[in-house]
Amino acid sequence: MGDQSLADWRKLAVKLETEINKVIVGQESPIRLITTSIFARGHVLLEGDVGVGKTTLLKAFTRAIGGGYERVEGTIDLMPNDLIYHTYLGEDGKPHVSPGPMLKSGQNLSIFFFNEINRARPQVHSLLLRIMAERTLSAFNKEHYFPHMIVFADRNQVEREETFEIPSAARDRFMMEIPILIPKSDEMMKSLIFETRFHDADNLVSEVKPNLLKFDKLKDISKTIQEEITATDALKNYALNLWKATKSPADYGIKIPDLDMNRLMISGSSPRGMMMMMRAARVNAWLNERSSVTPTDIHAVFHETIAHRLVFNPVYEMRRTVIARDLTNGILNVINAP
Amino acid sequence: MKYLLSFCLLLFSSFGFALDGQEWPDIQEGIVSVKIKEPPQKVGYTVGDKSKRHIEVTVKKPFVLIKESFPIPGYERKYRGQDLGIVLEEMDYKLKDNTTTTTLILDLTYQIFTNNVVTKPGFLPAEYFRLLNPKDPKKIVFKYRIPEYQIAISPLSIFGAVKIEEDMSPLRGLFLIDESNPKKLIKISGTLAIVSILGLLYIFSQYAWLPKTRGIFAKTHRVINKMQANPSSIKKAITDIHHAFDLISCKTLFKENIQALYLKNPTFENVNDEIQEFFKLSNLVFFNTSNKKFDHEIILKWLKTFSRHCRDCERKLIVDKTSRIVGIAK
Repeated sequence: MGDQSLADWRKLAVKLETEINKVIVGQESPIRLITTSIFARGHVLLEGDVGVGKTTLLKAFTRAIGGGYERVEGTIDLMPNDLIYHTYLGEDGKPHVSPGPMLKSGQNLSIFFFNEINRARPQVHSLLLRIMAERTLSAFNKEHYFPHMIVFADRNQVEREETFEIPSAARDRFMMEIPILIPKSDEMMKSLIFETRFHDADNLVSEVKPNLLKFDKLKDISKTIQEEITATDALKNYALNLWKATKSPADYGIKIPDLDMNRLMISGSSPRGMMMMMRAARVNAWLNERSSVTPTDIHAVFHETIAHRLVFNPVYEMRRTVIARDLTNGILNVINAP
Repeated sequence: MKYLLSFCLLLFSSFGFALDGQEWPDIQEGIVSVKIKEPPQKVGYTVGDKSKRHIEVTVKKPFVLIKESFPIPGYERKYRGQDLGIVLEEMDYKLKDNTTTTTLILDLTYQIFTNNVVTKPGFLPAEYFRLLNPKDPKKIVFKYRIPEYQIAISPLSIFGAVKIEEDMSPLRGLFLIDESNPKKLIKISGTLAIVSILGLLYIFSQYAWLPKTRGIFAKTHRVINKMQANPSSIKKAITDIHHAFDLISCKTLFKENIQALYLKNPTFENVNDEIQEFFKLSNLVFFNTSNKKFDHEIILKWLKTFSRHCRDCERKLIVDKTSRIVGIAK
């Protein structure tokens, strides 16, 4: 796949963003990040309050990408096998087994949306962890493959009763954690309230041009992007310093008010985390018509690819969202490039 | 015996008088000439006042004036066994030597230390100079007398008035303070103020160099200005400028957080176009993997100009944009 192909795909990516922005207003940044993760083949954890449009956003992407879309609600009694199959008594009075959401679309599964993932038990997390990492599943004495699947999960950070915090190992499987916020502009907020087109989510999603991207080609184009977009030694050093700073921010003079920086960190970003950050940065460079990665590309994805991987001392976990934002900003403010 | 004793006493007393009041003969006429400029004020002196005499004594050669006979400051004369109350406070003298004459120029300042309830006469005392002809084998010493100058010393208040502050006589006039020193001070201060204002105008004018010469960009510009055009210099210059930006904005500055710089020093907004171009150039030099050939001479010239513009912004001056090179980061 050559430069021309990359340019054509870039046009498609921009078209995808334009289509989604038509129906989801005031979410330009999350839309860019989701586009980035789609082309970087990374799973995404969405963070946001109830009713902010997470599901609509994902449905819109699914329609534009094509392929199968499955959704499961995280509940405290959800078990791993609920993702794989469900049993019922058929009209013939006999028990039947049909594929669950994970298997229903087969290899065409494009987006798997796990709603309120932190309400599911650790057993479910464990299954998901494997599917995300390996894109395979063993069931019914058979190995199932999901080569085109991207997992989108969301969690409500406000409610904490009857929830299970996602373990750091599972969090690390997600390429990005993207916050979905209510648009700040008054005009947009008025539009959401009064424009009736936003009231019917299904109709709204149907406005998106279907199958804009070929979901089964994304894997190849992603590989090409990662191969074609390069990084200089200066950038590699910069990324390395960023990584080191996530491990011991105090050593780099990073300070957050009212925090003991020496006690804050249990572990910084994992190698996989930095690898995913660079994958996303490469896609960002490609989307911005650059042939090599610049610090700006890293900044565009740094918080979303790194913050959720950082493991804080338990006393600071309750304030994770705020502390993680301050920490990643502090790291970017301190580390020089070049 | 009684007469003998009286004679001896008389003899010794006459001898003592001859030693103390040794009399020198007056110099003959025509050898010495004198010009005296007396003080303009003749009356109305009171305690603390000063009076000046200017005297020029010209002596024909071979006679010379004996320096030891010059008036001695601080010495107070007596008159009829009483202190005169007028003291020579200061003496300036100059000797001018010609072929035929020697001229002594004297400026004598006397201060009045006496007073009286009614007006009383006083005088700036007579001064005596001694002269000698060095060629005279007898070495006879002569004297020349500068005459005294009569003045009148006035009381501080009208006779009978006990308290001076109650004396509101309109005839006395005001006690005037010597205003020459304050005037001099005002003139000096005024001059300093004008120079300072001119200095400030210069500083805040277009091409000043005085203020903040030790600023971050001043230092950076000095370093870059000395660089030679080669790849490593270009990289160092760009890194130095990045470092200067980081120090000014108190954080690592990138294109996307450039507002942090403008918040710290809004003058930098005047060169926003150049800053954007600098970041593009930095990306090209450090993060572009294509084998692009750079003209190091032009890039270094641009960086020198840019760092000078940044220095001017740091000093909050108007940037000379005519020197700007456009389109360096292509």
